[in-house]
Amino acid sequence: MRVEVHLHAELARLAPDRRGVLTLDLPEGARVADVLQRLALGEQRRLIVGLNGEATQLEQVLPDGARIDLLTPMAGGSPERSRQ
Amino acid sequence: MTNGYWDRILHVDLTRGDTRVESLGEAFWRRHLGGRSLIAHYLLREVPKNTDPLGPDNVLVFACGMLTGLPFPGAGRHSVGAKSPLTGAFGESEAGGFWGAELRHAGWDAIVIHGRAAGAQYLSIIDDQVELRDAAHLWGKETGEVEDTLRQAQGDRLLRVAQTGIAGENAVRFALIVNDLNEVAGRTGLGAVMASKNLKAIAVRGTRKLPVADNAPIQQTARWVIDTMEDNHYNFHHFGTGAAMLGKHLEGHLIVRNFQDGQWTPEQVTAIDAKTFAESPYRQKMDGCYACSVRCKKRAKDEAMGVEPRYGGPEYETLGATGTNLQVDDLPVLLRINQRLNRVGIDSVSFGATVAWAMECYERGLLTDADTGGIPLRWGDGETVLKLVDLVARREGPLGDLLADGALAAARRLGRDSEQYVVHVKGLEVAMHDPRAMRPMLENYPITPTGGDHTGAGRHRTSLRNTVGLCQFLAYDEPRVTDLVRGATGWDVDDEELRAVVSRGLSLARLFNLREGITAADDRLPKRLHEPLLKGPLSSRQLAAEEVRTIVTDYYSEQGWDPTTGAPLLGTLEALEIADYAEYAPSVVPAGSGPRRLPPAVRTIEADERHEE
Repeated sequence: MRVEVHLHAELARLAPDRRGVLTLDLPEGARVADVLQRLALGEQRRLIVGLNGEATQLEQVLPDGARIDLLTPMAGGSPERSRQ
Repeated sequence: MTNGYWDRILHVDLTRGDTRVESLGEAFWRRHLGGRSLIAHYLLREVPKNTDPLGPDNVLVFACGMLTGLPFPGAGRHSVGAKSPLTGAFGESEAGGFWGAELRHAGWDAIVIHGRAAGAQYLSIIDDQVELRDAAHLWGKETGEVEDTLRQAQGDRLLRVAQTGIAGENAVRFALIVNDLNEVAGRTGLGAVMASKNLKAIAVRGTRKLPVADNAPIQQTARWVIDTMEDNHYNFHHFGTGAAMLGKHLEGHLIVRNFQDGQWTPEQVTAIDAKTFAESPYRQKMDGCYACSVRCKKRAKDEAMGVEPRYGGPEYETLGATGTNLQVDDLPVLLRINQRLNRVGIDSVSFGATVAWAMECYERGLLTDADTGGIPLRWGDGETVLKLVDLVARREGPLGDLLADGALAAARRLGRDSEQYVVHVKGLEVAMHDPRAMRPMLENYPITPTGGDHTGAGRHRTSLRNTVGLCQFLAYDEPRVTDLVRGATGWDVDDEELRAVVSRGLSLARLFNLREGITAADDRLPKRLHEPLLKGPLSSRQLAAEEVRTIVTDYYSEQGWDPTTGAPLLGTLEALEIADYAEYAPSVVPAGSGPRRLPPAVRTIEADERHEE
């Protein structure tokens, strides 16, 4: 199964080309959390994760061909920020 | 010799055509530190009750803070204030760039403009040399031409110019004051106040070094910012503001269609965000304010369309107000809109929000072609938005004139129950952060003295920065800010003392507002923000009026104000050593009210407040 990951703003530097788009091959049944682990983002304090344009949860199972967007709340605003 | 300030305020009386210098003394400066608090001092004392904001009795204050112009990142900020022609309330806005630092290097801490000149003037300040000069040749000119002309006349390309634009000349009530062509004191219509005084520009050149008590905190801070850039300021450094707007979409609080939707489409959001801009051919470079290594300022270029880097590039607020909120997903058009706004001197937030109100009214049939002069107002029509900048700036046609007074006045003029669609607090259109999702904004908008302003700051962190002249974006913790003030001044200030300075400014601004008839009933959010968003994960939530009321009354208690009316109690003013200001707001302060006691906001540490772009 293949998914496309879009890394935004400061996370873009994690992609090989630093422009922030990469493709990952994952086993069937992989979840959002597996993508974060693959990108060594598991320790990240808080991320906003989009799955095909909508916010999603870490336990969400990924469909083949999914687009995943990853952002930190920095520079974009987040309701969570006030609780940190 | 003082440290950290000159103790020199320049008063300019345009009616009489003369100037004088005022010294306030060390005790005053330690009590107020500059910025917000200095503005409040002059507005209360010098502006008579019920003054017409565009009349000669209003004063216009350019106030640096204790840190403005010192050589470290974030110290390029100054405040501007007056009674606002948009809201009738306390008006204040902050700007970056080089102008404020230059003013301090010229040996001045602030300028207070009084009266009205008989004809167009500009103020020239070259260190001690202060002169009012004829500006008839500058009136009606766009900002770039004005700056070019003044620099040429002075023979100095480093002359720093703050000016009002064509919009201010035409009394557009959300006209701004722009300095260095791309940095703006944007909110609350201060450009209209400047133009109402027939003052076109203030051109400054300074060659002095500001004395400080201890340079070590300043040098250490400058080094710390450079050494930790990738950890602390990566987004600002590489993209500027607006790099992660998709986050707002995903979480469902993107500002879309006059605060209705909360979501757009991922493709449209990322078509205009700062990362896309950074990777586009339209980015010339990133640039900085005075002494700032973060360099978060975009410089846009599009030679074919005449977009020049010197007018900057769109900040998040502009991308939100004229982009997402109006559903304009065409980045080159947004660059042109941003440039036009800076060339004619219009605040992008109020402009975009007022146009959004008009578009919603048009869609609902409340605003018709007869009202707009045949101009259709449709979401996403960027070319029309671009044309509207000039119509508003010149008050041309029925639509330009209607919108030029701001959304609330326009709705009251139009009638037809259209006021319910105005997203404002105290008449100031709400900035591009949704309080339904963002707790810091929910706690800020209702009680900020200026109204719906995300940096107008009713809370400690932002207020302190607006007082000492420090950028909101720099990731300095409070102990560092305290160290910087200590280094600049040599005073042994601590956190509590700085909290008292903040409370002083807020209580003075509160006195001003109450005197002008802005009351507890105005400390609220508009109807729209109590409606659920139409799209996305937050669409099932509704913000209760009671929640806002609780925030407001808690805030009154924190500030030592009457829990019902929000009037500062006499005991609070006495403890803050500002009881003498009560006489400038007769009948506002309840007689003999409260024990002499510093308010809780001074005595306790608030939860960490984070700033939004």
